[in-house]
Amino acid sequence: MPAEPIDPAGITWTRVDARYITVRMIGSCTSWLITLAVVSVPVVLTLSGVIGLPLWLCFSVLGVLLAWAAVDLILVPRRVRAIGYHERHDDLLIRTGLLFQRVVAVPYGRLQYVDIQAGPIMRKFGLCVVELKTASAATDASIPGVVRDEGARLRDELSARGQARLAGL
Amino acid sequence: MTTPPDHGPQPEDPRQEDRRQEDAPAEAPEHDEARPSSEKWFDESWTKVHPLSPLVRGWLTLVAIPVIIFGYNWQTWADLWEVLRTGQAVDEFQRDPTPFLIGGGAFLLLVALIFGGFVLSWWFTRYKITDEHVMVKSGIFVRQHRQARIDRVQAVDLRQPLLARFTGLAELKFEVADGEGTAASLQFLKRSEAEELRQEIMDRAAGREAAQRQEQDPADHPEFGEAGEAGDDVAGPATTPDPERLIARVPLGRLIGSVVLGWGTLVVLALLVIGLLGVGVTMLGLALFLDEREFGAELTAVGGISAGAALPGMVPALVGLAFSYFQQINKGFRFTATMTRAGLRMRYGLLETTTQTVPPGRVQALQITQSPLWRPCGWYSVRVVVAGYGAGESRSTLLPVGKIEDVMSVTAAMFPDLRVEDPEDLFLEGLRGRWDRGRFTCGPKRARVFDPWVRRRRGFATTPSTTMFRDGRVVPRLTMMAHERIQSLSIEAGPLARRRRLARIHLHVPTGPFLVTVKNQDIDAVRGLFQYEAEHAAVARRFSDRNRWMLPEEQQQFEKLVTEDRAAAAEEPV
Repeated sequence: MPAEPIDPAGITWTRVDARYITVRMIGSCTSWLITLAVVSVPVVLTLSGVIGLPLWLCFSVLGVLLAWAAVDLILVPRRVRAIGYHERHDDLLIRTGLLFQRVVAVPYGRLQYVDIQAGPIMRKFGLCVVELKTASAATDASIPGVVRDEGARLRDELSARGQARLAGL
Repeated sequence: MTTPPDHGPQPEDPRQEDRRQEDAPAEAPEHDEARPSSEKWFDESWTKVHPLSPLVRGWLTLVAIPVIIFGYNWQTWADLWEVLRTGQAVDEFQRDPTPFLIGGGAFLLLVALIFGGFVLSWWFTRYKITDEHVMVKSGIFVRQHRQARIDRVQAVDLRQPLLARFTGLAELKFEVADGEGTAASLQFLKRSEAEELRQEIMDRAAGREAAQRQEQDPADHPEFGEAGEAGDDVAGPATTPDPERLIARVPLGRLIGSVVLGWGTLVVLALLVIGLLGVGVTMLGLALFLDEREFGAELTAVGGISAGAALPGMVPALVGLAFSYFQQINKGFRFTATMTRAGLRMRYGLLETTTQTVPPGRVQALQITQSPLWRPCGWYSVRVVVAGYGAGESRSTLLPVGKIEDVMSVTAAMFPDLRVEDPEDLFLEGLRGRWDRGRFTCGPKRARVFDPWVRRRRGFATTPSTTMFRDGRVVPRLTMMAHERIQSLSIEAGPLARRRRLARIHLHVPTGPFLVTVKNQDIDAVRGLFQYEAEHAAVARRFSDRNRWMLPEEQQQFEKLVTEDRAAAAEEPV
């Protein structure tokens, strides 16, 4: 992916594992299936004559939702490829987002703790989410889809560097 | 560590180091003893709060119960009085005393229960101050043990509700960085004890044993070295009596003016304007659709109806307004800010007084705002982010209302030096300036689509120590943050902004009353700022954190780690 205008100069992002695309795909597909199932209840009821909604409304809503779902699913791989991180000497940079882009820099000295989480699907694919916490709730820095070994390495490395530059508040 | 009451009166001795050192060996074993005997819940080393404190805390219950009982059954009580007065009760009692005995017993039981509850809650509330922690235990059945690390204490408040003022008691509250809201509070102590305790806790929170005091950051806060606290009519054994330095004071006239010209009035005015517009539009419509003879009659009718509808609607609004005026005046009454050795001390309150102490090193970010109607008077208010105060507005206010000189002295006291030649000019530019004529960088012309109105104000400037964000045209705001206080930072850009090559920068602070962010800036300028802040934050932090708010051992450890880290960095090719 070419460097975006908000990326700091001279940074090569470490991208997350490609298997995370599958994980995200599964997640998105599930949520879209649930949404579609819920929305199609009144449509089915109308078709079987239980309630009387206008047909054009049913199909246009369904159509819009399907189109939205398709675009969403098509964008998943690009979204995942837009996630990246880079360890600098004093801070960790994380970028996320395809449309609404965000680059966050977390100085090691400000790290309060590093969290590693993995849900069932993530575990199945050997991935995890590395989450960085500072004293500020606004930091919101997490790297989803890191291979587990790399996640553990990151956690240890970041904690060690955080210790070295311990600053607290 | 024992609590101050146990120290007894000490002779005037400025060499407090000695006292502390003498105490030190005595404290250590005591601290260890507390551990094994903790099954006992508490021992002699725990101090009880003042015996009157349950009364001060629970007086509302004491008042509420009779009020409820009498209020709901007024008729019954009136009848009862009648019965008593005519002597019928005595006859009844002589005939069959059982219901009277049951009733009287129940009443006595209730009184005993309430009284017993008070006594028990007092008995089970104890506190203890050790070298590292403030510990509070409370609760009769569900026991609670709160423990706050002293070196994490961000600010200490001394609060006196109305009844506590009559009884000479005070509540001591500690804010700790780890948690939202108040970490621990001691309800209630004698005022002098509370003040003494506060001094001690603040001293330790600053990592400042007496010996260290002299080298304490003399550049930024010269008054810190010498000034102690004394104005508080109490000079505890740990304090050297030196005068506090007055920073700012809010005269009553200005307070009332600021409240009357504040947001409440604006909201009511806006409602009035909307209402009048509504009436006007209705009348206009009527005038257009009705012929002239009818119009006069309709006009009166509409006027009457709208007035009739508006008046009852206005009454609660006005009552609310009056109440909010009173609350603000009650809170800001006799606001005085002084500089003490422990930090900025603010005293305020009419019915309930609060004394708040915020060390300058705990201020994460600072914002100066001007409510729209204040502009002709040249008034501003100052708010800060202090970890632990949370998003609540009230306690984050450093100055409720003040002239530009007051704002400057508060900022100078609580904020690191801007490290520019003419800080005041830069400051004024941030408050009143427009466009990027001076040192502020505003958004480019292509930001006009998003920012037709505020673009001339919205911008940023940096000094060697500080980042300043300027924003708002109707409500001018200047947000300042020291590089060394940045927790983390981010650039954000949505699809539309990116097409215009604009972005937002956000410096992250702990939860507080405002965010430190500026949007719709040139993307390259923001990237430059981001890079600058990221580098600067790391370096500034190394220097600033060394000298203040750290214990000597911690400091040594820190220096060692930094040196090691530097060495490691030099070895590996970057």
